[in-house]
Amino acid sequence: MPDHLDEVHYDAVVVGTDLASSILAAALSKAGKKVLHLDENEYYGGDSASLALEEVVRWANDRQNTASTSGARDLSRYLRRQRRKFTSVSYAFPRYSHSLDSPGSSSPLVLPSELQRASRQYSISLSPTLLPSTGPLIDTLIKSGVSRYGGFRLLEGVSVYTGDGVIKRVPSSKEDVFKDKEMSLLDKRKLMKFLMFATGDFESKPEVQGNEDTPLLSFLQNTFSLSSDVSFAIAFAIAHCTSPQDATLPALQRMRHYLRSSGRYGNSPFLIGHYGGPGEIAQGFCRVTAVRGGTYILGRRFRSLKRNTTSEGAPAHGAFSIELEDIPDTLHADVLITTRDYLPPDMLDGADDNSPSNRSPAAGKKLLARGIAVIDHPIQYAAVIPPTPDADQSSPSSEESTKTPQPLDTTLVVFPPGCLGDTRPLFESSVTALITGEGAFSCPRGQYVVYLCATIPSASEETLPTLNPESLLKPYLDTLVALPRPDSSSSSAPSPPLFQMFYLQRLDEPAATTLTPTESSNPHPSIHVISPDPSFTSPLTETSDWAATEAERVFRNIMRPEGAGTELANEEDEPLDFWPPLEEEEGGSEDVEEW
Amino acid sequence: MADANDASGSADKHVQVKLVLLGEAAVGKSSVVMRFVNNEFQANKEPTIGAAFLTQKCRLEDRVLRYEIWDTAGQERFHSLAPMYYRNAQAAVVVYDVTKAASLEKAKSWVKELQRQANPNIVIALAGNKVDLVTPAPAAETSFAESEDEPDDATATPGEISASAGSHGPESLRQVPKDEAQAYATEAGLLFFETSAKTGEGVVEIFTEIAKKIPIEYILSSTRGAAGRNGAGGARGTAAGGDVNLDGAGKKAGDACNC
Ligand SMILES: Cc1cc2nc3c(=O)[nH]c(=O)nc-3n(C[C@H](O)[C@H](O)[C@H](O)COP(=O)(O)OP(=O)(O)OC[C@H]3O[C@@H](n4cnc5c(N)ncnc54)[C@H](O)[C@@H]3O)c2cc1C
Ligand SMILES: Nc1nc2c(ncn2[C@@H]2O[C@H](COP(=O)(O)OP(=O)(O)OP(=O)(O)O)[C@@H](O)[C@H]2O)c(=O)[nH]1
Ligand SMILES: [Mg+2]
Repeated sequence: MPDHLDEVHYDAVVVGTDLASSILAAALSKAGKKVLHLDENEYYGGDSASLALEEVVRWANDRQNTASTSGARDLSRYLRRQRRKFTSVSYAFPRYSHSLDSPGSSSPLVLPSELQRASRQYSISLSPTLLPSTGPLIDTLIKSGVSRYGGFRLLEGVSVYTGDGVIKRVPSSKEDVFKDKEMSLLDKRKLMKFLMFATGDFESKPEVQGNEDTPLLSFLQNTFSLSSDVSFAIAFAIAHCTSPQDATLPALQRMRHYLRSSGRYGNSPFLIGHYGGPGEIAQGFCRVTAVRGGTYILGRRFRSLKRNTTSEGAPAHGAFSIELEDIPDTLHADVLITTRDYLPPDMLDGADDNSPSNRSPAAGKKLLARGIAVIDHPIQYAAVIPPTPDADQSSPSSEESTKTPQPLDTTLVVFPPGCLGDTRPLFESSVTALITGEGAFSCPRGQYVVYLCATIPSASEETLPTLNPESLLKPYLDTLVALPRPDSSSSSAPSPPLFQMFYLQRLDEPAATTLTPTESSNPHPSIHVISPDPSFTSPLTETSDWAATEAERVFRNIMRPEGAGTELANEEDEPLDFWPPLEEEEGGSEDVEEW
Repeated sequence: MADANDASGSADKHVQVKLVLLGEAAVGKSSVVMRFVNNEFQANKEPTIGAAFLTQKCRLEDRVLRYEIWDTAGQERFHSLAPMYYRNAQAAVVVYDVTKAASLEKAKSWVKELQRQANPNIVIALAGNKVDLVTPAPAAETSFAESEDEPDDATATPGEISASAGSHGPESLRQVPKDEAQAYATEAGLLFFETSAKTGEGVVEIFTEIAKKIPIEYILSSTRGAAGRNGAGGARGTAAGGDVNLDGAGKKAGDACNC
């Protein structure tokens, strides 16, 4: 029996439950708007979802072009676009390869039964990100009250791969620099001088003037006389640059943000969300929306998404009408908020759209190569510093030699460009490996999820077919798992991953379907396009804050008292809070019942 | 927060327990919780929006349990309940309406869903609610309602239903026999009570029995200050030392802001 809705008219329909859309839905609900929130997927989170292992495999199968061409006609618009956004998707279960068909076979792989049983113990993120401990998302989490729905963990360490199987812990504070035993006193002094500079207001300093666009690497080496090793560590593991060409000013600003974030929750600028991070946080925002009366319908395809055209203004039943499979009622909304994944081509024209290709066409076309692997041993490396070195232990050498350091649960390893000796142009990107364990609630005890990511700048259409994410990233995974472990007993060959997947993700619409909005005319003032993928420099550290920034931008456009998109405008003249003050309403009683 | 109490030893263990509510619309999920938390009842309660996150402490022998009660907020209506809802839940109350047979079937499907999605150690209680509608009026006055200083609650809502029910005899409204539900609960390993949010019958009992069944020592030993979070696999926590509380208020925040 089909489900009926009590209500068919909504102030706003939000299509897509990615983090940015979910934040926006929650903000609109808290501002008193009646929200309908839809997602064609059966899971929350869209491109930032956290998925169980079984869902990951289904996700990959849906995005592989192995399905018969006759089936392509039946694909929804969303899925067709997903298939253009996520390409070269491949996955395998190397540990179980003997018991399965070869990965190249046409029939989609099934999970080995052992992994099938444990499927729900994995929360694998499609958008693995580090959350800076100060900034838009953390503010939004606290102000909206969503922080209490989720759990967070401090990133325990950042290391750089310096070549030849050597990995080095990157200091996360000035104290760490002082304690470093390998750096010369002179290098330490230079580094401290730079760190002082980078935490201050450098915009107007003579060092920066005229160097704004200089590559950060040369800036560090020329202006601060830092050694090449130290410069690489700073650029790729502290400022989170992805290319040797990344410009000085934005990199310095990022770095200052992270340096100042350190200390808020501990000795690291970054947090990682439990259960895969953004996908779980998105669910928290959706819960806020639901609590405020929002309606959720997931897993239904659109039968239609139309803008009603009547001659005089918005009709009584809303400007947009939506028909979903299995839902008999036609739903109406005054404002439509969506990602480009869902928007019919004829509606894109004139929408309020902040997508990368719109902001600056040249900045678009970024491509990420991503890899996900599940391994069942920690990545331990010789040069590891114990998680919490005793502050007043001035002679730690004796201690370190007597006890094996505890494996870190949640760490980041950065491979600077070219560090594996490959000099092909596509490899001119750093590769990050984010490792999360059971402490991040992302996998069963004793296992780790490794997320590899490389940003491929300005990939032209022609290189796409030859770009193989697996051959690009696999060497990094192999290097990582082959790192010498401190306990020499386990020097045997590393066991293959339980699961691995590689794919390409493009951060903007393919040229063929990108319609250029006409700036002058604005025929659809009440369509707002959320862009969950900024043309960011550091996908790892900037994506989550971007979601909050983008949500607030669209929120203000929708609520602004005059101009386009006035349907839901705030009546009052005073500036509107993105989040109203938290009320006690969700508090309830605190009485102790005695019995 | 568990960490605030670790130092005080076993005398006053204070354990946070996440409890989720499930059941068909209008069976009385929110009403049962309102009876438990505020000891009040509203005759014509709106479908739930708003208060969807309630906390209630309860003392059990030597320790205090702090229930963090999550109401569905309607997300379950189109089968769109987020996995986050089930995560770390140590207890669930699945509610049906004794006057609606279909609501028991729905409850059974929620139990299945919990067994599939939730922590394998979750304590599940089945509540056959609105039992006042099928009970002769005098019996509905339970000791719980009388002992409170708001007797109005039970009497101020005489209820058209009770009146009309009278003509047929209240038992005729019953669509789910108690022994049928009891048999199902036993088979599925659930706690079972018939309840009335209106009179209070069975409500406190259900939360007390859950409290007794929850492996508190296990929660305490496996969550070092991590607000009772327990992983999908159940046996989590050794690596939980690095968890942070974003609101930053640390230990003393626990009682003030329900975080
Ligand atoms: C196997 C295959 C068959 C195709 N057949 C057609 C076709 O018959 N007609 C056509 O216009 N384009 C067809 N295309 C082209 C292609 O799908 C669209 O140009 C492209 O998807 C536009 O996508 P969009 O997401 O921007 O817009 P969409 O919103 O996806 O579509 C734009 C317009 O093209 C139509 N369309 C899109 N994809 C198909 C499809 N697979 N079958 C039928 N209509 C489609 C839509 O109904 C709409 O009117 C086909 C592609 C493939 C792979
Ligand atoms: N007679 C009687 N009525 C009850 C009882 N419990 C709830 N009700 C009534 O049943 C209706 C629905 O109760 P709610 O508590 O809102 O039910 P719910 O399950 O939370 O409903 P949703 O939030 O819509 O899913 C309200 O009118 C209540 O007053 C009960 O024990 N006895
Ligand atoms: Mg309710």
